[in-house]
Amino acid sequence: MSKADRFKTFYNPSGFIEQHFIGIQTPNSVISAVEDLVQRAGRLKRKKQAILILVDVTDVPKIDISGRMAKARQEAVQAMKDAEYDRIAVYGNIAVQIMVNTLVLIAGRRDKIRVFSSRIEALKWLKG
Amino acid sequence: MENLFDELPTRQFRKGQILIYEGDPVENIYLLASGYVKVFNILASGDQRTIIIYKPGEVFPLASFLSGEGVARYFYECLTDVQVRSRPQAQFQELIRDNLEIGEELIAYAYKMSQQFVERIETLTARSARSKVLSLLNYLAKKTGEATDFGQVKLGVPLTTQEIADMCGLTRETATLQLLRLKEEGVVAGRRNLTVDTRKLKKLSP
Repeated sequence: MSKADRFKTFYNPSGFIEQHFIGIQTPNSVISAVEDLVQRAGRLKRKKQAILILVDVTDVPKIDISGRMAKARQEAVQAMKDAEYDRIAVYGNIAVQIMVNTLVLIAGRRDKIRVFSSRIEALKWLKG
Repeated sequence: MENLFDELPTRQFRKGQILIYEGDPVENIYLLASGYVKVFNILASGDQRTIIIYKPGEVFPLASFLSGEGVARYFYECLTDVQVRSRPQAQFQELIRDNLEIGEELIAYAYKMSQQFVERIETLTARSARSKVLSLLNYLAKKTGEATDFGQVKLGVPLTTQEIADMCGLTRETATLQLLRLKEEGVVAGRRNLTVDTRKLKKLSP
């Protein structure tokens, strides 16, 4: 599976950026996905639109907590701190929730990024 | 992990006291300094089901805090007299902020603990009464055991048959029967302070 197949990003007609992670992730796939989000968010900013992002991590079967992913986690934290966005809602299983929310706490962005167990909850908060 | 609780005072709780109720907001993160804490839920039938046990040096309820849920998913009860150190979650949040090193450690720890939860829940839901008891003894031996003789491990926490039954999701009568059989087979010995023959246990474990 190439890194492009491990995630897809698109503009949801409901007015937000949506990103899906698919299968086991690698450091490169996570970094590419983060870069993709940052670029798309930049385009929305130039159009002076609200930057809302929904991230689906339900199709990632296993979370890699090993050191080889440390660089990817570091990049994700930096992007959470520096990128332009209004709200990001992430949803996935409990391991995903622990991983992503801890990175959110490190970045100090709990006000703008929330993690959920279901799409319904995530969308409710994102659009709320 | 323990250094996150340095210089915090120790508080004592008696056996049977509940530290955290299911559904409570996670206000404090605890380091268990001594004793054992059991984590359980209550089934629709009203029966208690013990999921896991925390031992000295372990931290809870980390998964509830780190996942962002904000509320405890289980009850946390002192299985013995315990001593804990606690830090308000808001302070804990500040410790993590901008500290990827601590964050990485917490992720690894919380992930390991959540795996233990998953394994124990699978055990509780999927197997025969005998398998459940064997699986519990295996878990307790690894988690609380102290090697006494070649292959013999003494469990660190004294348990009544009712407590063993609760931990397995069985009735007391069924747990008693299974324990009697395992005693006859020489897998387990003793009354409240059980000793387990880990070599025999390994052969029998599913």
